[in-house]
Amino acid sequence: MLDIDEDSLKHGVLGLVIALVEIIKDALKTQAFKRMEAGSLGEEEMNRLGEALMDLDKAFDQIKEEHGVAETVQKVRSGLDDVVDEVLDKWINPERWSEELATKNIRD
Amino acid sequence: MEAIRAKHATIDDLLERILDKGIVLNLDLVIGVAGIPLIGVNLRAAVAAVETMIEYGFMQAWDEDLRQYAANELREKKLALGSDETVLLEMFGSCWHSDGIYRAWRPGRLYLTGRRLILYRQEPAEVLFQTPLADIHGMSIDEETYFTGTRRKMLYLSLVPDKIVSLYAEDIEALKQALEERGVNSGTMPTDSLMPFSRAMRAGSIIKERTVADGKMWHQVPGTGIHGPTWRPGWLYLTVERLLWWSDSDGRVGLEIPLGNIGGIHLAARNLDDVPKNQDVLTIIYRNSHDNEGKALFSGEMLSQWQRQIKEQVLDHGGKDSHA
Repeated sequence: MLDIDEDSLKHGVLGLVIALVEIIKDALKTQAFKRMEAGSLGEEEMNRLGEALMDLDKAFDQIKEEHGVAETVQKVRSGLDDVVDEVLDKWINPERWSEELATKNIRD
Repeated sequence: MEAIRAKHATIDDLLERILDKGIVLNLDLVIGVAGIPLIGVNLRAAVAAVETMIEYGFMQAWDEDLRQYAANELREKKLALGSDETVLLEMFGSCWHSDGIYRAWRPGRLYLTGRRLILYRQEPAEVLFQTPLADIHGMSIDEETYFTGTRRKMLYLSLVPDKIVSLYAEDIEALKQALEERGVNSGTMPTDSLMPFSRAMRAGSIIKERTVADGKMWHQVPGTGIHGPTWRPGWLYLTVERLLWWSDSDGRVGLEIPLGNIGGIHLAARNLDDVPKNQDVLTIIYRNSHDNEGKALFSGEMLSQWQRQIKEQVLDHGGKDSHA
């Protein structure tokens, strides 16, 4: 029986969405710093950009507090980080494949 | 030379590296059914940070045009103030917006001028809320407790035609003080008639009997379908008739047990694999609506006091209608 609870669905989906948007926000922030450092932006533009990013941070904190999903968001993000870490690790070290294969064969 | 890799790569690092170096995609794709090609996709894409794009000679003109356009737009769409109106105070803020199914905090920048209080959002430009100061009849500050443990102050303004607006501001005390200096009275609102969406108000419409105790409490919502049991934040009410748990994330009653149905209460430290780890857990055994035995798990603060109070209420209640 597939019985998806409305509550848990909302909680989980909201946490996931916020986590994904937060990752994009962080990427934008990094790029903003890079542009500022590169020195192509004017004084007024830098202020505007900085202020908008700070307001964005506050709005995010407010949403997470209001819905109590800070923990879920953190979990999703660290989960994604782990996946990235694992995939990169395998990419860079192809010998892991044979290691994994070997352990699998032993188990079979 | 050996490749060295930092211990923990994060998704942020990955994105930064991709954007910094730039990525070029060449994609040829044929979608078919039963071996017959039906849709062809031929895609060439380059994704990189604008800084990288410019370095390689792309998008330079576009970048300048866009920034020029934004600067012009900003000048045109600036918050319109009267000729003799000056901004006295400016800070980050948000207001509660409720329109049918769309209910949310809408963030923007709060401006206090000599005449008005305005919440203005720059992108996309919109005045989210504004009121002449003369229309503010009263205001009061109230604290809301969140499950992260933080308490946040809210400013409630009562406007002329029986309208209450709730605002959040970065520096709410400064805002209140500035409003007071402008002649807005504080504390003129009956505190129990405001808070249109506060927990107290919502629960008040459900609980008519006397409440013995209430406080914040985590509850393990039973697993359904693909989800395992999950801990949820909420508020537990013990009344003279029942035990009621309000789910914060859903804004409705999550569990209701008549006192007469409670069969036992245990308090023990448990190792849980979800949010509260190795914590004291209050287990309440009760008879549910299908006359089966159910278990409700709660976790939070002052559990031993809760246990004692619930026991007392159940005994009192049992004495009255010879149950249990």
